[in-house]
Amino acid sequence: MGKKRKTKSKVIDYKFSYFRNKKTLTILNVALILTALVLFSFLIGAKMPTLGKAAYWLDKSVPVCVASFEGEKSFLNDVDICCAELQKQLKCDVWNEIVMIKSKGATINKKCYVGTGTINYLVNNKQYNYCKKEGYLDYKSL
Amino acid sequence: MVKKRKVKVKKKATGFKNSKSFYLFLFLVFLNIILVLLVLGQSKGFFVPKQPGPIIVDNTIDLDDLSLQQKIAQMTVVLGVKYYSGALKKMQLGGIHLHTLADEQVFRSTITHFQKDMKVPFMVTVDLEGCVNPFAHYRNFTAAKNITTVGQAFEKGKIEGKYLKDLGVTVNFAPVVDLDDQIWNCRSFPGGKENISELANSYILGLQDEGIMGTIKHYPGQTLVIKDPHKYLAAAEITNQDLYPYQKLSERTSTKAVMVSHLITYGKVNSEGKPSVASQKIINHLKKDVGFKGMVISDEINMQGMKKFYPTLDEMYVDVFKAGSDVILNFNTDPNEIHRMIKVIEKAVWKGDIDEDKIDESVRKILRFKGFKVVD
Repeated sequence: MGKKRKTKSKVIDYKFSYFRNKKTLTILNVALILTALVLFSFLIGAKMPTLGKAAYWLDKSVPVCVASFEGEKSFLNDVDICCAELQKQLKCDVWNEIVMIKSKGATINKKCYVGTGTINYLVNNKQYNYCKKEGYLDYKSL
Repeated sequence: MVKKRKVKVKKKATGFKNSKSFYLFLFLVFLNIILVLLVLGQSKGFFVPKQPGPIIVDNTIDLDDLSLQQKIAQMTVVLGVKYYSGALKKMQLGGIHLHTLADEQVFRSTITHFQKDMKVPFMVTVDLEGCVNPFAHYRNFTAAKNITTVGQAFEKGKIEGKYLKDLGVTVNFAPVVDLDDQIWNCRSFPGGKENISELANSYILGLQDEGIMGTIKHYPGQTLVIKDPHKYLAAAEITNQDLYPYQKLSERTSTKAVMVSHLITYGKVNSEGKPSVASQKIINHLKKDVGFKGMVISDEINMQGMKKFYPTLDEMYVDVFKAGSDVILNFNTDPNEIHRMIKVIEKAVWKGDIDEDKIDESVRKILRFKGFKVVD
């Protein structure tokens, strides 16, 4: 009986020996405090810097959005209307292409669509990251 | 002996210090678990208060039995996201809008999930218009630009209406009656103002023959024109031509709903520098001068253009409700924000900034559309 108890306490000792190291505990506690702060800021609705936002700000190109239906393409200059249309699409695939519309060229990075026989949108990363940054595509991850 | 004792005392002291850190560690783990649960709960709208169920006797609802929050909630249509559906159901909102979903089965199960146990069902809305098709990954419909006769337009309305009805959708935000589609070239029916109006009328009759309410959009026109990319909200001149479809379709009582755009307008109708959807003058013009008697639906208000136009969201909400739309589309994906909007409007009604009679008038239209008798 006594032996068993001793073995048990040894196991517990072994498990928690990790925490006996003061340095490890301090590091863990600091990490937990930081996590708690981040979670608390989420709770009060603070906006966090995200990779999408950084990608948007670092990209110095002009947003490009092209509406494409049955081979006909045209520029959609309104970034927000474009985002509202991207919301309606099922998915966005990587799509590297240079489109020419009325002798004006634009580099495309993504194609967003529902299926065939309906309108689809060709956008560059700047436009796509803008929509992400402004929360238009948030609901897709829910 | 003394040395040994000193070492023991030192060990004890370190152990005490470590145990303090250990207790802090345990406390922080506990705190983080609580915070994670709170954040998850908040994102699902867990803390949104539940509205009491409406009293329905013999399919009749007495407006006086509804609280102001319930009435405002009925005027609100949000994105139908299953993740926080509990909060939307607790608020008893007027409707849900569905963009595309994985497949037909997911559409059906989502609608069934939302409508389950709802005494007043959600209005279920989609955008199946022109060349926009949320079901295109498994079902195709003829694009509006390929429709040339009233017979084809009616048939299109019937086919689409039948499919939507079968899914459980109740409102289609179509047809587009903007005359000049410079961007998409496929959202409106082809031809001039008379042709577009005729085809739109036939399409609506087809839809409504199957029990789906059609919505002509985007009042007062000119929303499909190329805009200045440097401006958040574009402005355009409205002519009599642009208003023609609305006048024509209002004369024929077939049209039951009109959607109002974000565009700032001048010319024949002037929104006085405001987005049309927030302009009392524009909506009054639609109701009084054009003579439209049906449901006025706002275009989606959770757009950066709209939000940046106003110093605060509260001001935008009050202006939009005050302008006179019966149904407000707010696709904000935070259910707490939707609840906050309802409270902001409730406060504005109490302060006298928004007329409660106007709210009642809108709720009456919505509940009647949902098949209820409404008494005051």
